[in-house]
Amino acid sequence: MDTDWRRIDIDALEEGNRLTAADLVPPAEPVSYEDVAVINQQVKSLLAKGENYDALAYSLSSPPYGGDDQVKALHLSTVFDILKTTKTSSVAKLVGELSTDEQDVLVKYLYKLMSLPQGQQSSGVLLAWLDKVVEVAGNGPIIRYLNDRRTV
Amino acid sequence: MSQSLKPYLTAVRHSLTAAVSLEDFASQVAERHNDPEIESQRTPEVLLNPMVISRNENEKVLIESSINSVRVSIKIKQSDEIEHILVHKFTRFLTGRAEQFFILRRAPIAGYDLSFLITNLHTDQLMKAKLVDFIIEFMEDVDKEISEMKLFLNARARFVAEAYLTPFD
Repeated sequence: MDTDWRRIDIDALEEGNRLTAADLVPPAEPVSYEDVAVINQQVKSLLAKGENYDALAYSLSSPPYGGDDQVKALHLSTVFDILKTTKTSSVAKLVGELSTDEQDVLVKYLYKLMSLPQGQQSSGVLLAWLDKVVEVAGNGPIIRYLNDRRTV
Repeated sequence: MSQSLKPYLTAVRHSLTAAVSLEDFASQVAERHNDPEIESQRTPEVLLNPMVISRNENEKVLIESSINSVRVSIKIKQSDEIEHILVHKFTRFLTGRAEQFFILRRAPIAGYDLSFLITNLHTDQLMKAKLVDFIIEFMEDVDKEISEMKLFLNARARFVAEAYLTPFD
């Protein structure tokens, strides 16, 4: 234990004096693993039919902000599957058809994936998507990603 | 420029442009202090989400931003032992002279080779676009520099070996 009393941060000892990282996250409805698993199945069947836009819009419209790590990981892999299976030539069109909110969520997933080893193995795909999002929507989605405390 | 480098650098450029919008911000913890919030980490409400942009597992950039400072950390490509040594020497050379480089951080953060720390003082004095350009250009050049040094090293090794072995010919 640090015995130098000059270095003790006395403000930190009193409760409620300072915000913690947990206080900053806005409340979100809890999402169960089953809900996300259902989305995962539906997205798989949509992908099998080749309806990538529907799959993407569907998965991005309901990000599991309130879920625990396991739930988020499953939804992440759902989105990643869509990103990987979409043809490079149709990316620009897909991104253009998304709503602003969906674009923001897409950017969140792109940055999240790039920070994980599984995503880093196919960074080329992710970078192409990010490039297209910026082309369509400008820097807005990136700035909103920076400021949004609701993480995916 | 190679095919995969371009989207990587554009992504870094856009992320940096978004992250480098800084303003003066006095510390909320200590009176009459004004330190980079990203370094002190004492006020969670002014820290923003970190961004990682990766080209592959060995080449990535981490951008951590806050209200008055941005920390940009670069992991330089190291495909073999020689490049590892070269990168180590090169970054040590630079960080040893961090004072002259203005925005360079004296020690890189864990897991990365080189870090920059941009504060609101820097954006006051320098143009933001030029600052971003500088970092992009640096990333472009450092790869070139390292591979050039590696080639030079190999060429010299071959020459030395030849010179040593001539008497036994």
